[in-house]
Formats: sequence, structure tokens, C-alpha cells
Amino acid sequence: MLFSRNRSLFRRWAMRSSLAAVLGAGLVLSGAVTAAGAATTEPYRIGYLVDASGTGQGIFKATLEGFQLYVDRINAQGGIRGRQIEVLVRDVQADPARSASAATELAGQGAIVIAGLTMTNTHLPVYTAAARVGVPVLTGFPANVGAGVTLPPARKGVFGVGLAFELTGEVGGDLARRVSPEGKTFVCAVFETPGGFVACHGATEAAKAQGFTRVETVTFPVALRDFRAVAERISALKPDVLLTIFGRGRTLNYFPALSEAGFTGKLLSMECGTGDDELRAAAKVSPGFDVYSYSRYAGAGQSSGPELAALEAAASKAGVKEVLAFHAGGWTLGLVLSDALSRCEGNCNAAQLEQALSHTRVDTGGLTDEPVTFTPDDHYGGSSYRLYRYEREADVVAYTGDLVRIGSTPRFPKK
Amino acid sequence: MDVLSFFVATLSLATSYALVAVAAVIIYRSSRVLPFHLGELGVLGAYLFSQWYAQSPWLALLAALATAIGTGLASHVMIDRWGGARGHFVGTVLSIAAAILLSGVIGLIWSGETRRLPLVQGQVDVAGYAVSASALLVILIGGTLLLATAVALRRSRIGIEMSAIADSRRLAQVRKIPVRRVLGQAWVLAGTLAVAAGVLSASRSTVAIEGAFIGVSGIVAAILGGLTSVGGAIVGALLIAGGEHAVTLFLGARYSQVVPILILVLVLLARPTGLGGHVEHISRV
Repeated sequence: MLFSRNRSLFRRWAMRSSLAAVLGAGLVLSGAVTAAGAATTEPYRIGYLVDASGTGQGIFKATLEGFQLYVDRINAQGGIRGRQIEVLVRDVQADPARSASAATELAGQGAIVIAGLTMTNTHLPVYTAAARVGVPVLTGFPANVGAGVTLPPARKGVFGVGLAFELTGEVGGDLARRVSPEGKTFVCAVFETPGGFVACHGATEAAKAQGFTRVETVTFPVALRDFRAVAERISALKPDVLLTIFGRGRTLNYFPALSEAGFTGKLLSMECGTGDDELRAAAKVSPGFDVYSYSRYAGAGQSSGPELAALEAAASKAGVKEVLAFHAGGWTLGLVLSDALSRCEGNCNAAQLEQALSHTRVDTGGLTDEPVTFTPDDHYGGSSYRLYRYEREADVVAYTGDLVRIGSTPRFPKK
Repeated sequence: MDVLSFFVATLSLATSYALVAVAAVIIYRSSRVLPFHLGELGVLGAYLFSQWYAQSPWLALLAALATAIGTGLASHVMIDRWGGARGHFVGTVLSIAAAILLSGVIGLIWSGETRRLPLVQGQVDVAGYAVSASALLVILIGGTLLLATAVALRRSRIGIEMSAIADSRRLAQVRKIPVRRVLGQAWVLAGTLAVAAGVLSASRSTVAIEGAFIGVSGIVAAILGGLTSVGGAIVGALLIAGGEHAVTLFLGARYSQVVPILILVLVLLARPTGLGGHVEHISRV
């Protein structure tokens, strides 16, 4: 009796076990199939660091806007190789610790690249955090850390489509001679950020090489908004050319303060996040000096090409008031990333994407004069800058026809 | 830079600082709270003023006044009545919280936008020197406000009542002084001075959240002045503005940030009660 009951229990147990095994195997198999299917349809996850609420929001939000416009366009066209692009955005302001932890967190969320980034003081912590989790970084407009990072010999896993400030600074020093053929005194005015210091170093060295005999640098804290005393100091130096390396929001006070302080030289503004709209607004109310600007990226009406036209169309549809260099920088970031994704092998994990980024050559279709090129040793590539002049009568920032092409090796590296 | 231009530029900066410093003195004298949110309050007023200024300066003025009264009363309720009832320290901490809250609200509404607010432009010829018209306007408006406040605090009933409340709130109540009403009026007056400082300072630079730095400079000027003296606060503001301006001009802007703290330390070493403060000796008879 007891035996037969045990046997019946055993049979029931055996049946249940077999059923569970079959179901389990089925589930595993279906899971595998689903996973294999998901690998081809899951979106590419892009981590994006932005300053959306801090002092740099005027600059970095616009670059994200340009990037998002490009991503929306690609997604609307069906994505890349049938996969959509999902952008995971984190507002990190200009906080290095927040930026680094956001990079780690985004990698944990499945991001295969960390793009964007904010002020240069946050970059090295992000590069370190991203390297620890094996995810590449693609830094956007306006700033990249150049020497030893994106410039050759490039650091593994870090790429940049913004400005390596040592190079952009050198261009400023070169262009100083074009805006003032007889000038002797050159002043570089910049905020106290790592990028600012290297930019002024490159600019002052290049200006010296161009024959400027008196070269000065004026620096000030990032939070400064009242430039009256600074303007007095600069004006007292009587510069023939004043190179200004400012972000958005500052020129509105700085230009009128210079005018009031009696500055009469040529002002050359590096386009690293000022925006032509602000440049015009500031220059319009600041008589007494000529305003020039130089930029790697073209805004609306400053160049022509299919990508610039596409950006202008997308921006107009999205209600963006004016296409500026920020938007062109963001769109270019999208172009470079989508090019790498389209060439990325396998399911495109972080390592495969990094490999693809290391062999990049993208024609930006009017957004820049040079294609964006990355090689295994050079993660920045050659670039060129157009010189613009503010025409007071017409209230426009017009291309002068001057173009400077440069490679990715600084002529005056900071020791 | 000629001496007159330097003097006028320094005086215009000092005027903005002094307005905030006097506002801080009013609050401290009546509530014993250090209001750390006056700078943000000024920036909020400046943004709202600039919002309407293009349409009508009168509308802009109305908007600024409404901001001053609204935020003054809100500060009174939140910082003074809720916080102050739990001690002056709690009130001061709540004012820091209010600064953070206001900063967030401004960021949310205006997204870090920077605006120009030129009340007047150009330069005026003074004794053969070209002097900034906007600086003169700031000195004129700010100076008038400061003078009126100083006279009101010294001569009017409300000024005397504020001092009585500051000495002893309970005794003031026994003396039938309407404590709540007077405190409310003190906060509205302080709010008005802070908003005026914000608008005037923005007219010389730009409307931006960074303009809130006048709050810190104003508080330091008030401490320099001994926290209870209007005259001391104004002298403190002049010292800080003069120091900042001279250091920026001759050494560089990066060093100007340490000027307020350096002056504060030096003055307090020499006079621990501040420039216009005094030690209260209480003795039982």
C-alpha cells in the first residue's frame, strides 16, 4: 500500500519534473530566440551629458538641440540598419563629479558611447570614468581637451568634433594679422578654464610669430558678468587686436563696457559658444570698434551644402529661431556618430563602436569646410576656420573670404 | 581710466551693494535674521522688470514693485514667522533655502537667458570728462532711495517701532506696537531695496542669475557696518566696491573675489563689532 502510494507519488513527481524540464528548455530556447531577435531591433543607446540648468546652459542646450534634430531625422527615416537611436540625456551642469558618475550610470543603462559633455573642467573625469567601464567618448561642440587626449597621439576611446582650444587659439593669433595688418599689440581675454588658458597660450604665441611685439593675456573668473573694470583694464593696454574667448551671455555686457572704456582696436571673437545672434546684438550697441569672428562651424546663410540645408529645414520645422554654430556642431556630432554606427560590426557594442570611430571620414555637407576625420592615432583631424566681419549697416555677420586650414598638431604646444 | 570715471564707476557699484546692505540691516534690526536671499530676489525683480520694460517702463516699474511686495511678504511669512519663531538661526537657514529656491525658479522660467537692460546709454560730459550716463543714473536713483530709507528709519514712527521690536519683541507687544504689521512692512521695504539693487545693477551689466552676487557683497557690507547701522552698511559697501574695482583694474579680476573677505577680516580684527556697531552692555539695577 505504502509502496504503491510512493510509486504513484514518484510517477507524479517524474511527470511534473519532465514537464518542468520541457517548459524550462522551451523558455530558454524562446528566450535565446528573443534575445537574438532583440539584438537586431533594440535601439542604439547613446548617453549624452549636457548642462541644461547651469551657467553654460545657453551653449550646451543648443548643441543638444542640433544633435537631437539630427537623431529625430534619422529615426524618422527608419534608423540605422533598422535600429532606432535612443538618446539618454543627463543634466550634469559643469560639475566634474556629477559628470563622471553620470557617465558610469549611462554605461550601466546600456549606453555604447558618451557624447556631448559640458565645460572642459568636467572632461578628464568623464574620460576616466568612461574608460573604466569601457565606453568611448565623443565630445561635441564647443570644447574638446586636445593635447594628449584627442590630438595625436590620441588617448584611447576619446574623440572630439568640437574645438581643441590650443589649435583654435593659434588660428586666432594668425587671424589677428589679417584683421590688423600693421598691428603691434595683441591681447587675449579669456575665462579661467583649462580650455581658456591653452587657447590664449596658442593665440599669444601665434600672434608673436605674426609679428605682434606686445602680447598680453587678461583672465577673469567664470562667474564674472560685470566687465566694466575688466574693460577698463583691457582698454588701458590699447590693443590693436583683442581676441575674446567667451561663451554665451557675456558679450552683452562686455562689448558695451569696452565701448564705454574707449577701446578702438579690432575685436576678434572666437566662436566657441557665443552665437552670431548674441554677437550681433552686442556689436550693434557698441560703437567705436570693429568686430570680427572666426568659426569652424557655419550657421544659417554662412555656407551651403546638403547637411546645412537639411539642418535649416529641420530647425525651421522645430521652431528654432536661428541656426547657429551650436546647432551645426550638434548636427555634425550626429553625422559622425551615425556614420560610425552604420559601419559598426556585430551588434555594435561599445568596443565595436570605438573601433568604427577610429576610422572615420565624414563629409559634413556644408557645416564645416573640412571633413571630420579620425584615425587610430588622431581623434580630432584637420579643421578649417572662416573669418567673419560684423557689418554694422546691414547688421549681419558676413564671411570675409579668409579661410585658415590647420592640421591636428599644435605649433606651440604648452609645456 | 581717469580719476572721475573711476570714482563714478566705484560709486555706482557701491550703490547697488549699499541698497542690499541696508535691506539686510533692516531685516537684521527687526528680526535678527541674516537674509541671504536678497541677491536672488533682486535678480527675480530685474528679470520681471526687463520683461515689461520694452512695452512700457511704467509697467516694468509696476512689475518690479509687485515683485518686491510679493516676495517681501512671502519672505516675512516663511522666514520670519515660520522660521524666526523657531529661532534666528532657523530663519537664517530658511533664507538660504529661499535663495536656492529662487535660483531654481529663475532658471526654470528664463533658462539661464542673459538680457540687456539699458535704462540710459551713452556718456555725459562732466567737467571735461566723459562719464557713463548709466552709472550716474544708478547713483542718482540708488542714492535717493538710500537717503529716503535712512531718514525714514531715523525719523518715522515705523523706524522707531522696528528698533523697539529688535530690542525686545515681547516688550514691544506690551507697548501695543503692532509687531506683525511692522515686521511685514520691514520685509516689504527690504524687498523693495533688494529689487531696486537688482534692477540698477542689471542696468549696468546684464540681467542674469549671476547678478545674485550682489546679495553676498551686500551682506558682507552689512556685517562690515556692524549689522545694525545704515551708515556703517553704506561705508562697508563703498569699501568693498572700491577694493574690488581697484584690484580688478590694477591686479586682475581673479583677485577681486577675495576683496570682500579680506576687508571683512581686516575690519573685524580692528573693530570686532563692525564699523558702525556697538556692544550692548546689559546690567541689572
